[in-house]
Amino acid sequence: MKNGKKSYSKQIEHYILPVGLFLLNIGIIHLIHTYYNHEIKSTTYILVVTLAVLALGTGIYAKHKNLIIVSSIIYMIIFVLQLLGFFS
Amino acid sequence: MRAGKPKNKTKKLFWHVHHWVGLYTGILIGILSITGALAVFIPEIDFLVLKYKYNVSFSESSTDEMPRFSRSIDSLTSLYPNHGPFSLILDNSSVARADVSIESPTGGFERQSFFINTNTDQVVAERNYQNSLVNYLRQMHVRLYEGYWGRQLVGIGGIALAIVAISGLMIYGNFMKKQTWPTIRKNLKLRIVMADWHKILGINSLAFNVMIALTGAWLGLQPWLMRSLDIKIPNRYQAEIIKTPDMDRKTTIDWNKVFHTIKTEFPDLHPHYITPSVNGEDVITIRGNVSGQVYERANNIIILSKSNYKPIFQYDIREQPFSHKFYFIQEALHFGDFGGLWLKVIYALLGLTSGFLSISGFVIFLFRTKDKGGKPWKVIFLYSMLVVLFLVAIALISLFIGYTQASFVAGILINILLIGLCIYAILKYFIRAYREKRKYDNSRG
Repeated sequence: MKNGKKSYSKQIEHYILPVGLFLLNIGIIHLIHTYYNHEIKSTTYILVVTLAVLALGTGIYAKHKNLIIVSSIIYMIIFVLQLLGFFS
Repeated sequence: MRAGKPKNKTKKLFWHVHHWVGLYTGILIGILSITGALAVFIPEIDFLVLKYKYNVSFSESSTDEMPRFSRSIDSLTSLYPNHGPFSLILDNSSVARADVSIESPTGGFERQSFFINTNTDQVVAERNYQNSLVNYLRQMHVRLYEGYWGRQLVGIGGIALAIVAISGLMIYGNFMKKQTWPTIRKNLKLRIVMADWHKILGINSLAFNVMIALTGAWLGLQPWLMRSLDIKIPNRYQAEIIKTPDMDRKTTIDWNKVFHTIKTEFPDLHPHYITPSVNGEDVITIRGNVSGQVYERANNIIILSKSNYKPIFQYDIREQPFSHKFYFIQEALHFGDFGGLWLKVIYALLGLTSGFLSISGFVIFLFRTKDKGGKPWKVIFLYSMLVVLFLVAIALISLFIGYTQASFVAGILINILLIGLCIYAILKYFIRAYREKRKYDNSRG
């Protein structure tokens, strides 16, 4: 950090952000679908998806490298488990 | 070298692919983006049309009671004794739709929709489905109103969108350089501002656009791919013919028994399409949805015998292998009808980004070539007006004259445009090659 300004990171701008945004696209649609079907989804599942998508969104907004990476991994795990029928 | 043009050979290839594929298919992607954003709202638009044009009143239907429609169906079938296949379409409202194939005065069959109030069991409105606004919205997005190979053309548009989206990602870093996401540079030339919006919106909606592109490519090329690769529709069932069509058509159906069997044999099924056979199979096919699923609507099936109401075939997507699920997920993902109105709003907004990317990409191209004598604003205005004119003209012909005539006009226009575009591209390629050869010969002396 210099003069209160964030330093430019090519790694974040060119690689990590696009990956985060890619997953956020999926996450937003997933989140709306989850809330739309809240009657047949468990509260834990709704909470986990909400937190993962919120964390990803916050990480992207703040351009926080570790938060984007961790929340992306967590969201991908949730997504794959969902596809495998783990939450149904 | 122009600013932003990549130096690396692979990146240069991606840039060329992005540039040329975008330039030649931009208009197609733009039209599909606008029509797609409208197509996701087809049920809501139809609701408004029925309410205000046909004065149909809607109320929530009770989930416990069986919808009442048997008297209306009986009166329709006796009014059109030689009717072809008919389907009853139910949703959560108090209005059911009966689509009946009736003999057309010009020969053959045409689909007529009758709206039945399921509280009073009365036919409250009717319309010709083919000439309706919802059919226009669907057909324009699905096949651009071109009957022969419009659907395949839309599939090619899907492939093109996937190519420009992925190639755009590959060159994203080169074009962003030291620029940070999501900065739009201000007080600069329009080309720069458009380029910034192009990059930011492109990367923000990348996953959505790739998903729409791939599912759209599959849906567009589906008939051709299924024929070529010998893929069968996973939930297809062919019953045996055991009666004459006339006897089958005249068989009385006890709808209480039908709904009772559905409730006991497939309790999670919400019936959506009910189709009694008219060809002698002596069955009733009920297609419907199971809540919370992201699959094509009405892919779950139960087929009952008309004689004893026992199930003779049942298809529950939850019990099917991955290949079946993968087949039926495509349409749901493409049209976004699995998450209510809010999801549709998100789909429409994200869907419009591909249209904006086509326009902004074209603006960037035109302003870059302005020095060579181009008139960017005139060209943009002309193209935009031509697209609007095409969409409005086909809509008016379809609504006020007929679907067949609209399809005929659209077919002529689209095919002339395509032939013109191909001739232009080929001529341009040869003229360029000839000029380069002459330049090379001159330089050698």
